[in-house]
Amino acid sequence: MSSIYLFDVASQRRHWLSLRQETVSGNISHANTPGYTARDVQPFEEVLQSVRPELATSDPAHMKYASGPAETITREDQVAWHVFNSGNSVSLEKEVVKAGEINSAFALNTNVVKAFHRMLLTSAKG
Amino acid sequence: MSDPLQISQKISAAGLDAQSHRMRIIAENLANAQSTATTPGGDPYARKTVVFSNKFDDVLGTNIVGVDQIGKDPAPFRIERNPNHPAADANGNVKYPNVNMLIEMADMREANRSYEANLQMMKQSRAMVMMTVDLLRSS
Repeated sequence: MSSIYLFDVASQRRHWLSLRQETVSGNISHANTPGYTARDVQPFEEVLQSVRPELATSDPAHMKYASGPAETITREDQVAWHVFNSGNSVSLEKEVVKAGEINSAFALNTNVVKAFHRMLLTSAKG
Repeated sequence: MSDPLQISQKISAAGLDAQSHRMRIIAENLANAQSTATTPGGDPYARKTVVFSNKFDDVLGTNIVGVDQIGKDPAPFRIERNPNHPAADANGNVKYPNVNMLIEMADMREANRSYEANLQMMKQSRAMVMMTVDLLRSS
């Protein structure tokens, strides 16, 4: 059985969710900016599967960099609900739906971490 | 690099600031809906317009919203005949501001909604930070 790096995945998920929250905040604050196109981040699955290019270590003295989460890319939202006359494609309703998703996913993530942490404590305390 | 959740709160704050600025301009337009010129035949108050823009913030390292420029509405002024008015021209016509109450009200509602949406996002970002902080509390 392969081990699951739960805390690592949870930390990556948290990072991704906060980035998405940032993007949604940006969209909502630009709800009335002419010519602004709504943005979204790439799906979590893509981020999780993408691998960082390894740096070649040609000398034993070279330091290994810590393999953190891969960079999440923000891109334009492909499926805008509507575009205003001013060229603005932010739909407040859609952004609110996204914000709700983020909130529940974040709550789930933290609760999972909490549960695993409790389990770890139980076994550590004996 | 600071935490994306903190950045998102600051982005929302910029949104709130922009919308309240817009609200201020709307209040100015409504307050001056009857402001005529002080000299005979002069131009009255011209309706002000707000344009938002997407600006890069060096401190945050991301784009935030800001008030780009405050322009003047080029729409023609409302002309009424009132020879007794101090601002009446030689023919007895007075120019009144091109402020349309209905448009201002619609604008106000939109600003209000956008403000609320920004506020909601800020609340949620804060709740998310608190969720993480609460991880420390349970054990």
